[in-house]
Amino acid sequence: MKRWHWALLLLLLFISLVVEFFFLSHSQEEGSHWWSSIPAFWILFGAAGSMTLIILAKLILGPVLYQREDDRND
Amino acid sequence: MPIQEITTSLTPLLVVAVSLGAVPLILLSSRRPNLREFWTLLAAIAKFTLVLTLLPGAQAGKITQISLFRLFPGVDLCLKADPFGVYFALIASGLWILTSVYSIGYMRGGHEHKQTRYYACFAVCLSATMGIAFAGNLITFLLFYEILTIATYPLVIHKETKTAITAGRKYLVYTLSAGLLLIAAALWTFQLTGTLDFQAGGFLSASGLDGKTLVPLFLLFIGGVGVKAGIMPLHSWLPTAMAAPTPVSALLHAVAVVKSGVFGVLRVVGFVFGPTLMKQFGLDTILIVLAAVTIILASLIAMRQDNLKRRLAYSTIGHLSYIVMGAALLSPMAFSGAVLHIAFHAFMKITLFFTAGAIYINLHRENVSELSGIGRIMPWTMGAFALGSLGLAGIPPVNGFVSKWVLGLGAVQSGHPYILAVFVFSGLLNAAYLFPIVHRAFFKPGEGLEGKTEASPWMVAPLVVTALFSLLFGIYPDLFFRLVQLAAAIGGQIGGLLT
Amino acid sequence: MIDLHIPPVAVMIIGAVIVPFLPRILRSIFTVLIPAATLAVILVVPTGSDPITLRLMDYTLVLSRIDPLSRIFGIIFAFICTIGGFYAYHLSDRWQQTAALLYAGSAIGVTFAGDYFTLFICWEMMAVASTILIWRAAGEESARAGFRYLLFHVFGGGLLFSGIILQVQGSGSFVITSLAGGHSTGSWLILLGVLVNAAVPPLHAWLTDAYPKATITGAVFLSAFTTKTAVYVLARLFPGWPILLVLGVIMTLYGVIYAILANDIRTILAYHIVSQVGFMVAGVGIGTEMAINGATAHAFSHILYTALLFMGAGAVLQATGKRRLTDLGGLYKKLPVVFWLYLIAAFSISGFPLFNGFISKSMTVAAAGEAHHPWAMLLMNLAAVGTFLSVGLKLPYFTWFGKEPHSDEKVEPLPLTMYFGMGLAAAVCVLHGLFPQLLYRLLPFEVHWNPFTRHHLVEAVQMLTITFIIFWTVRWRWLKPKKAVALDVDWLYRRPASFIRRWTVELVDDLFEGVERFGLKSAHWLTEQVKNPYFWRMAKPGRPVEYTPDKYRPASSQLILTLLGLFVLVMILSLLIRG
Repeated sequence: MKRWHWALLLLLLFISLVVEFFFLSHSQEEGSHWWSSIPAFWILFGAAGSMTLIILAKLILGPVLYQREDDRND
Repeated sequence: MPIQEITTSLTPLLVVAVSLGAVPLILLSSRRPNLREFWTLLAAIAKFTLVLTLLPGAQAGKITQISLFRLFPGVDLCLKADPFGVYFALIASGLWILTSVYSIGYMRGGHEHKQTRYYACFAVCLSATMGIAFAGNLITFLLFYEILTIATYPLVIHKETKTAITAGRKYLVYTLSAGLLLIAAALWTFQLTGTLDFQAGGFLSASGLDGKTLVPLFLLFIGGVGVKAGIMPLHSWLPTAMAAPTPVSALLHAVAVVKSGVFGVLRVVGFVFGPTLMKQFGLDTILIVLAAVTIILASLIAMRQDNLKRRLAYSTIGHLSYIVMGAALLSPMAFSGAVLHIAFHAFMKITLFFTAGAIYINLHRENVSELSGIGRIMPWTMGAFALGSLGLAGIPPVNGFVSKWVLGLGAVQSGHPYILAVFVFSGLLNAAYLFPIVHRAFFKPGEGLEGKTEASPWMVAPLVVTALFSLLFGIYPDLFFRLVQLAAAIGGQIGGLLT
Repeated sequence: MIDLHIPPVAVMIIGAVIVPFLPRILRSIFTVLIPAATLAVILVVPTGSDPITLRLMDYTLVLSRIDPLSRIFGIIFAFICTIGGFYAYHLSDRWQQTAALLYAGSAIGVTFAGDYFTLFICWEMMAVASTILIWRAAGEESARAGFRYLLFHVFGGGLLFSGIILQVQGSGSFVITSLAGGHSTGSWLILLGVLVNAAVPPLHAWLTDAYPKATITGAVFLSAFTTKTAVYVLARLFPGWPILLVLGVIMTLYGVIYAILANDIRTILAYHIVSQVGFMVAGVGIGTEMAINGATAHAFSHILYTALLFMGAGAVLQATGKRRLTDLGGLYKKLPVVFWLYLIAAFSISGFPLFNGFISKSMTVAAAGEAHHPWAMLLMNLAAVGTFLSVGLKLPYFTWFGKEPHSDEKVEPLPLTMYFGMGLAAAVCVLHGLFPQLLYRLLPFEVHWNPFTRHHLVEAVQMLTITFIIFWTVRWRWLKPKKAVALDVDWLYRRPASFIRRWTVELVDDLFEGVERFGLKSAHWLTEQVKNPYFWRMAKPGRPVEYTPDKYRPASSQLILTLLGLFVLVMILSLLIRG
């Protein structure tokens, strides 16, 4: 990842935050859910979500379910 | 009950007699094989044509009969071509034509001995089958039933090896004993009611008999017809009889002999006892249990057989009990389904048996494990086999699906919806023991197949025809002879009288 | 607009029958032309034209019925078959091309069927034709997987069959109508049968087992039809059944988690099919007009980008011969075009704005919200995060980057037609992404939805960027591909298979054989005693009799001949005496 890739990424993130805080009213038709009042909710959601999935999959379920490829017998 | 139009005519007798007439001609032509085969084909075509003339009448619900002579008061030997009889005769005689063509390829390709005896006996067997189809009462039915048994014996032991003769002996033991049971049942019925004539809806109901008499009587009857119908545990002659040459197994043990058995079951259930009586005394439950057990167990055993013909034999046993089940369910739809399956299964099974014989003559292989890769050198043969397999598993667009569908509707209509599970499970098992053969033939590399080609056209043509018919019937079931309508009418005739 | 209602399925089936007999070049052309012609027919025949009917026994069959719901599915099915035809243009395997046409054709048959009988016939034909696409792949693995696939589908077909029979008997008609009204045994059985084809866990393992083992071109067709015809039937028969919402949401997460664990690139994609179909199933379960619209739009978009994903993975497989992430890597310089085309599909499936996934997935999620299922919304978004993580980031990273390329690793050149097929799919993904109305006007209900609101854009950008950042950070620590297979529910029936076989099949057979042998022995003993009346005549006490057949044959043959003669005599006499 070159430096300008990171720059672009963070710029997008920044723009989204700006739009969120200045241009979005947090109590319209779509803001009627409990999470619409949490700032930067979707960033937190994405972070928590991906970590949860990764931990659940690779660290919890993986050791239980993984089997060596050639061990399948039917 | 609507009055059925009854006409007297020589035709039923001619149908029975025409192949008998060919027998001396065949015997006399033993030194000129082409002339001999010509007589067989001529007789087959003549027989089929004669049955065709009866077909329009049958579709209109008419009966054509001829009384042969009186045995004793109240009982004569008579032939009655009612819709059900014409239906059966149509299938058997039509398939005889194809089997005769196939026999030519098989017998000559395998340089079989005693071909004259073979063709002559075949002709007698078909006569007897026609007699069974057109039997107007129990005594006529019995007579031709036993003749069929005896006439098939030389065909079963044809090869005259030790296995063949043992097979023949077992066959006779089972079928002649069954015949004795049937005679006993018929005599007892006559003693109870004074009549033996088949009647749609049964004639025993008028006799006011009670369960103490009817249940044992029913068991006697089922024992009698059940052997040929392959109902377990009376079935084991069938796999052993596979020692016969394949055309014999194909026509007789997939069409004529075993179908005479289930034909007999349907006659007993529908034309002797009748659905009302069956239900009243729980006779239908007996038959349902027997049929269900046979269907499942036969399919399970089939999975274990490596010999192709034995696998097909067990498959036949299973499918025969589809027909028995249809009879046992008693509703009009179920009867129609059973009647339909008589024809549709015949087409599919005969295709498979023809295939087995073609493989044997062409490559001298009998076991499933030896069939790797043969699909590439025998594409038509194995393609037909694939079609037949699809149909037996009940997968559209082959005709086996149509009869399974009608049987399914019949199961629900009769108030036994759980029987659907039996049919569905059986379909799965059919797939399990037939599809591996198709896969092996087409998708596995072959061994020792260099320089081999497709089997003789005398064998391949008939099996392609039967496979094609199976497909056409599956796409448009009423395409030929309006079989579905006829089956529906027969079903309605018997089952519609359920009160 | 033509007034004539040509059944689209007829065009496909007739084509499928002709194709195997054509020489190679013509065959490839026709494999593209026939679905294209079918697409034209579907677009041109007016919606709501009279259905084509046929009578069978006492029932009416409705062979072809075109209404907005069936039309949109028909369009995408025909279109994806055309794209697949391009992708498979280079094939010299006539059976694959025929099977593909039969498969697609029967799928279209299911879509336009108006009665259960026709539907079931096409349903089963789909199963058989698609099996060939698995079996045509070489190897023992594909052979066995194909069997499991076929048998499982016969089982599912059996459930469907039972349900249909019960339903038809109850209602007295074959015609398909929505079952939203009531729950009966028949409707539950039909549901189960359809859920098998929709690959809803725990009935899904056939898909994840078999799709990775199919042929390279075959997998593209497989990804499009079976599950989506099931979704169509669900939308037709079971809109608003609440259990579908629950199952759908579970499915989305189930698929994603297994995808993260998988190593074979096509296995990953297969699990994503399960996940994506979950969105559609959930949409049908919600049942509102917007939800059905969402499910349908999602099906349309999904078919396009999933086919593109499989085409890309297939291209990698064809070029390198490798299918596992642990073996792949560093392909960017060697297969750049495939990478960029794959990326378009990856962006689409992940719901990037300006691609078609965004305009359809968000509709379903929003429909959940409007129908007051906030938890469904969150869980589906969680699945979307996982989707991006797995198929949008992990898969392409470890395939095209992730390690230094070896100069001696050869890469087979790919036919141009493969690129063309991929490009066509990619183009529509972008087209719909930019101009969603093009898709929306095909939807069954009127659309009052605008995907390009600030809310949605913010939501999407935030989720996707943070997921990317997290991926990049942990990619070697926790997301490194592992050379292993994660056991799925099919272990439950594959493992005991030999055990069950021993106890049901072999035991029964041995039992019968034993009984038979015993019976035969006793019968033999009995016959020895009574078989020949001559014995009793000849046997003197204490002296065993030697039986030579020749001595007694004349007697038995005389007996048989006499009987036959009597029979003939009876016949002749009856002719003379008559009456």
